[in-house]
Order: sequence, then C-alpha cells, then structure tokens
Amino acid sequence: MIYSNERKLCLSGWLRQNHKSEYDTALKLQKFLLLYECFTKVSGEKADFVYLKGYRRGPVFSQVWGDYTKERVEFNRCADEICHSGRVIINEERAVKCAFVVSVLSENELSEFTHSMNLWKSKEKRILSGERQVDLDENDFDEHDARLISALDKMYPVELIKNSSVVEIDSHYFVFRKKDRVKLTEQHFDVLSSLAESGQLFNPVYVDIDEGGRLIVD
Amino acid sequence: MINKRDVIRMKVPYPSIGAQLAVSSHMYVCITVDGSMYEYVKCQTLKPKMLASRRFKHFIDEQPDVSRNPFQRMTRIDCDKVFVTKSVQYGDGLKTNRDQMCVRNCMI
Repeated sequence: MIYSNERKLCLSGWLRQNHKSEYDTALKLQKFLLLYECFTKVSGEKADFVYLKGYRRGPVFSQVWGDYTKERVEFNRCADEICHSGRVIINEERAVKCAFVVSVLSENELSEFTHSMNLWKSKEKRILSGERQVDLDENDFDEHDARLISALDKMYPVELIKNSSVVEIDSHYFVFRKKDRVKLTEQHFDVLSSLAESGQLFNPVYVDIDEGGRLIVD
Repeated sequence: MINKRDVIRMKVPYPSIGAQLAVSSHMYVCITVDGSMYEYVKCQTLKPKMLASRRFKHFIDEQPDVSRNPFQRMTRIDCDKVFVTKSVQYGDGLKTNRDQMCVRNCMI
C-alpha cells in the first residue's frame, strides 16, 4: 500500500519524468520535495510539510521515504499515474528551479544547506542525540529560512536554467551554456576531471569557453 | 587607468599557475585610488554554500543588471576584506565592459 499523498506522488512523478537521475537518488528526491514546499511557502501559497521528519542528513518526508524504499515499483507506478492524470497541478517553473538546485549540488551540500535551516536546526540536538522520527514543524520555518529560499530563487532564474547544460564529474557539477556544451572536447573533459580532483571547487561550477578554447572556471 | 568603482576581471591559470587550458575568473571592484595605491573588494558568483556560511559578515548580493554592474550571475561582493596593491600598474584591458559600478550600502 502507498501512503504518500497525491501532491507528493505528483511531484515525484514529475521529477521521475524530467530528471530521472535525481529521482533515482533518494536524498535528492527528498530535497526536491522539500525545496518545492519551501518555495511554495515563501510565495505565500499553502505548503505541505505533513509527515516531515528530521534526520541526520536533513528533513525527510517519511511517508515518501517508506514508500520509495519499500514499495518502489508501486510508488513509481502511482507517481507516474498521478502525474499524468492532471488531478494535481504543479507549478512548473517552481519545479524546474527545485530540480535544478538538486541537480547541481552534491548530496552532502544539499544536506548542509538543509542543516542551516531553522526548520531542521531547531530540532538539531534531538536529531543528533539519536532520537528517531523527530517531527519538524512548519512554524520553525522562519525569516532566516525564507531569506535562504528567496536567495535560491533569485540565483537561478528560469532563463539561466533553460540555457544551461550540466556535466557531472565525481560530485562536481559543471554548468555550461547549452551552446558551449557541444564544443567540449575529450581534452576539455580531461581538464574538468583534473579540476574536480583539485578539490577547490564549490558547486555549481560555471564554465565558459573562450575564443581560444580555454575553459573559464567560476 | 583604473578608477574608483571600476570593476576589473583577472583570469588566473587554474588549478595551478602552469595550467594552460583553464583559467579561474576573479572580479574586483576598485574602492580606493590613492596615487599608485589601489584598494579592491572581491566579487564572487553566489553559491548555495555561501548562503549559510558565517564567513561573510558584511556583503552585498547583486543581481546581474546591465545598467549597474558587469555580472552575468548573482554575485556576492565581499566587504569584509580589502585587497591592496601598491606600485602595480593595471592595463585597461582588465576592465570589464560595464565599469563605474553602482554599489550601495557598502559597509567598508
């Protein structure tokens, strides 16, 4: 039996359809769902934080977690069905932004980001003491959290996202303009690999290609 | 010649000084010119890790805006640190296209 509500199923189905790699990573699915609700709340609409629990790696929608990990085939089927049914309306632009954020950050970076939110941090002691199933309270989503989410909103306008192509190497996410992505050579990929090994980069790493074919790393 | 509020961009070989195929791009806003002494504040593309960082106490987050800055992405101007050079000459080629940056409420 699937316990996730239709909203969560629809969002999960959307992610499965549009960003399968992120959907197939349990933590990234959870962060996508969380970010979507956070963006919703900041926009003034009604958000759904039901069954949100605090764990070491950040907030988790526990019903989704249970369904996803224990009834995966049925969860996939329900997610696809509800997403295609039209019964739940998704804010497409919001989903695109949230998917982009989870697609350009590593799992650790996503966890760290959620750790900085009062929504999770207010229960940090209990969570880190080993207490399980710590309920997170929407009322703990405060002004600080709203500022974090608003900043993310401004950092990733839809035009930038639509014009971007992401290359992942060893949990480093290199963001190219779509027109530059096709210019990448094997030599460029070797350079990106060595950049990833240098360990000095913060995701997402923006890369431009200049007239001489050099990579300009930001 | 670099003037106050000019934004310069430097491209440094990356990841090491001998690298030829990649450069790291750094932008700086000139905040003081006194003879041959220049003072700058650093600009960095804003990343999620920086949002939660306690490293920044005084900063300005600027959206890209052709009427006021040369940034292509949301950028954090770090007002906690000042970079000073003395007796260094700068070519105009380092200037970004949109100079004379408008910076408000810069707590320096």
